[in-house]
Amino acid sequence: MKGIAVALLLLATAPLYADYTPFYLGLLTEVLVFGLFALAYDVLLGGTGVLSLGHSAFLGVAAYTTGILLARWRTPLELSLLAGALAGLATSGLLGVLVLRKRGVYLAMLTLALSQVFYYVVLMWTPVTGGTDGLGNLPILHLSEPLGWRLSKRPITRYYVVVAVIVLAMLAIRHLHASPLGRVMRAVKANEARAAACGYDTRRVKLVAFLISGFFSGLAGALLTVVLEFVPIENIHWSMSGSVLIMTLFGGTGTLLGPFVGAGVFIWMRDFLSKHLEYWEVFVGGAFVLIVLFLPDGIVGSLQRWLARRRGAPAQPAAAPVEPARLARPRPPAGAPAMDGALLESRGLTKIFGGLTAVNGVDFQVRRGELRSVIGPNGAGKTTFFNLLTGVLPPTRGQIFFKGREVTGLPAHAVSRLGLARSYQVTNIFGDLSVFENVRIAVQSRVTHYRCWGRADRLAAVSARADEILRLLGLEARRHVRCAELSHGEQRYLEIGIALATDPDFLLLDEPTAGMSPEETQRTAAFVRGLASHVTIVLVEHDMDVVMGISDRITVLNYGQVLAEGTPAEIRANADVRRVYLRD
Amino acid sequence: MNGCILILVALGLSIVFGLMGIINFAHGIFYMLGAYAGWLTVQLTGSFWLALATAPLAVGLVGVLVERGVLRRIYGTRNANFAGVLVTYGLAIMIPDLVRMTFGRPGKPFAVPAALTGSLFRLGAIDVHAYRVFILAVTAVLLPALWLLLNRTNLGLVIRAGTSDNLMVQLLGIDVARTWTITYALGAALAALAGVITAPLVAVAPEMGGLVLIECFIVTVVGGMGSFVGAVAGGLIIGEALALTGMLYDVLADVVIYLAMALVLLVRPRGLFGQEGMSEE
Amino acid sequence: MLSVDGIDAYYGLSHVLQNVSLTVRPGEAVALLGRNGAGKTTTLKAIMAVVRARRGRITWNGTDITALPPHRIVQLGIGYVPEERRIFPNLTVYENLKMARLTVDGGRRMRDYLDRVLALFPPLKERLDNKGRNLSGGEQQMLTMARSLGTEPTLLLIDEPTEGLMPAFVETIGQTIGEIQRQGVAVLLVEQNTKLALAATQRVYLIEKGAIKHEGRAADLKNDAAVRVRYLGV
Repeated sequence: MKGIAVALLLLATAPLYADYTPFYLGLLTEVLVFGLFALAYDVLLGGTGVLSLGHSAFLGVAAYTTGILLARWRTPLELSLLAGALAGLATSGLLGVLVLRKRGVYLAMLTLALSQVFYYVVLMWTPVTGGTDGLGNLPILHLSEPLGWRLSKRPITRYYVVVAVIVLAMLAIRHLHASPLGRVMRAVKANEARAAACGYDTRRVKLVAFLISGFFSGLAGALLTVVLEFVPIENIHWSMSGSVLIMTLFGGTGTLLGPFVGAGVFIWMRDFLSKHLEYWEVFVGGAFVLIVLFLPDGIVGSLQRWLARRRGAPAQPAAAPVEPARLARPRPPAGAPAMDGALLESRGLTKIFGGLTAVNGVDFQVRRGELRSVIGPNGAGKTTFFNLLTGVLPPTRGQIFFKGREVTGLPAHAVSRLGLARSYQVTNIFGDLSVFENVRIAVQSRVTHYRCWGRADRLAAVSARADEILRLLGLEARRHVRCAELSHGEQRYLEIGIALATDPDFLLLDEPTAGMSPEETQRTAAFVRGLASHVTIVLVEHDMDVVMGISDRITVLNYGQVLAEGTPAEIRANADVRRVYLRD
Repeated sequence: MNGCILILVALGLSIVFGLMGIINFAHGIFYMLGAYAGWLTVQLTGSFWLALATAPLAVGLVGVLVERGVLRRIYGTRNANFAGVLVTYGLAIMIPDLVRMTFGRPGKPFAVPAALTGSLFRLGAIDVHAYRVFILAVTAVLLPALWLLLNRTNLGLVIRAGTSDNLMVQLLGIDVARTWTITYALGAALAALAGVITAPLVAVAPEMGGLVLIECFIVTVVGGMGSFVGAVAGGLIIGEALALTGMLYDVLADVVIYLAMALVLLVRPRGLFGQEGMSEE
Repeated sequence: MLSVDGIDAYYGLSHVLQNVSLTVRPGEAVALLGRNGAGKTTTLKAIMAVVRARRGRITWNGTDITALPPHRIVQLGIGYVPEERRIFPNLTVYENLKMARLTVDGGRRMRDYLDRVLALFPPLKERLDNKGRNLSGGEQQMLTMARSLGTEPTLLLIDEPTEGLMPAFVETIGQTIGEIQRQGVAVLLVEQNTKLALAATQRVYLIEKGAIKHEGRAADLKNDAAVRVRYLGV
């Protein structure tokens, strides 16, 4: 990346020109440390979609840990830095475990409130932390042997040492974002529910993101202690959490340079504006409000978007899906012994919402290789039934068996890992990700979840399989398009593709032809029929032509109960069905 | 921090969240502005009683401006709830500085009004101060009044209906935009009144909004977000916890309430009286 | 008189309504029939501005209402009974009903209003103090119709009132629609229960995959099995 090379060059030569800019070297060092803090913060915000207002705790605990080790126990510098980073990790782990039961704004407020405990601990524990006076009395700082360079009162040496650490950290975080784990985090941000349906334990993923963010925030805190040779209590106050949020948004979430630019702007305001204006926070707050309202991508983010638009790719033509003559890894019924019993079975499955019984004692069995359609009037409970089968909702009563073992009450990601996949009636794709990534991340779920080394792109088998599936869907020409921009029909195909990509034995399709034109519907019906020779399928559909045309058997639901079940001919002739479903 | 004060502030926060789904960071600011408005009124007119009226009115107006000028722009956008927190946080940074510009950095002294100073009576070994009784009295009058507002007036009816189904309210011909503005202003006025009443007890300073916001959030977590009874119960519990531990060891008091919140989160995440699902997003 | 002229509507990218046109004259009862997913509910939502109509125009008594927000459309005299009923669960039956009166008279003359709706839906009388979430499906359906009538509409859009209800209620709904019409309110009824719809209305539109395919008198359609099977049945 050219931008990074230029930035590195500027950094390396900074001591030459820094004093001619508003950022004299010491301040520049501080800016870079806060930039790291913001970058670490963005691992959660831009990387995983989690807003935290508790990062002051990670920075502060680390800063004090490092400070105390240096001041009281004369611990070597490198060890103190590491200890600080680990302290940040531990704090974020503790907070993460407590708050991840919640989501969104509520989670953010929880992190804010809980981070204050640490502030009070520091405030009270005056003999160790110095209370409101801060922690001082650090010894002369120097690197350990064999280098032994002195850092105190040596701004240039200190600058280079700090920058070296920060560059390493930056490279590590950049690597994280490109790794398989980084891609999982991004998928969680784009659509958490779908990520879970692909088999990812999203809560654990978010916790890992917390830990990583905490570690690097801690590293920033430790470095800050070294740079300032002092630990002010302000750094563990909750206003620091607000500041890092502001820095990140100023620069732009989801970018590598944004946090550093944002830190620079913020600190410039703090130091420069405050010299000339007594009241500078008005401008910070005002600028922040304006950015949130009018420039949500931040400075660097907006710049990147504008550049990308200028380079813009021409619209690709939509292609028609090929007949799935060969799903290039035809699933042999082997692996499991030939099953006499049902592949998927529910017994007495019931779901009651307050006063409403949506699903009422449903007994349901599907054999391997079958194509079953589930039909019924609106409100018959079909979607709730699917939600129960896939672990999205826990049943009130009853049991579910898959491949002979009980899966009742398992969460969605566990059900997915067992080989049960689902597509949604209302398109539920990873909107901000490309078409290719949508499918690739689903394929990856069968290979690795938490690997944070190596580029995700280099998982050759995963990418190859994703390509195969895109060809199957007829979407390979659209692979780089952000999938929110696909046509409706293309999105419906992608919808099925994501489910297919998890290599399921069993596929639940919820109204795949919803909103399609008659021609598209025909093609989709043939497509689904083609899939059925490789995957067991249960289909919810309203289009009777489709249902009658491709199903092996049909189950009719009404008032959450099974009304009838049989072959298309039997159902067509069934008087009860005609009366209730067609109300004729 | 007095339990009654907490109840009043928490109620405002809770009602706004219940109806609009926004966690209003500026809520603490309205509290602070109320204290300043009260101080200003006393400076100009010498009357504490007048301040009790002007502060809520003035700050309620500020609330209208904030809702119309700033919040309106984010309704219906993607991530509106996040944007609500962010934007109100930005305001929570801006406005204290504006206050510093106008009134100066140091806090303002605010004396207990003469009529309410001194001890009212003795309860065993404890002096019961007149001002504390006054706070209790105000709360005792306001709470039923608010309850009546929510449950016996048309405005309250619309708020309660809107909390569960905003669209259907519109489909019955009602202009919800107006209701939202009024509700937000009401929340601001409540916070402002709490601010005036607290002023004689704490330092009237531009920073006073921050701490109260966090405590008030803890109250709603413990009591249950979006619940009237929850705000009352939570306020009493937290208020008492603060008072009791404050007698033992001052700074420990604040830590205790955080632990209380952590406990509630682990054991009963929706709070004592919260409704299922209210606290998810 | 309601006039819908060539409107399109989308759910995201899904083109759910294509060039839909229909009219409802004063005092008429019109049915909109079609299979699941054909676009019946979307048409009603487009009229109420819950879904945006792109292209085309909707006119009500001479006023162009295409760009108006839902609450203005209700104030102009179109009422809406939603498919999901949307009873306020935390409010009592009485309070649910009062909500509808707020823009009419601020809820001041509830007595008269209650007399009128309880005459139409007697079972609600016992349940006035019950919270919405404690009502049965049939009671909720009655409540939502009574409530929508409270906004004093001259046209009532009714979305699948018999869905999920027992046969006994279905009859009641049919009678109620007749009574409403007798009181001078026009009705646009969306239904899957073809028999009920044809009995309760005078004119019928058939919609399939977002487009109007057929228009005619209810009486004629009752006798035309071929059309019925083609658009509605198996």
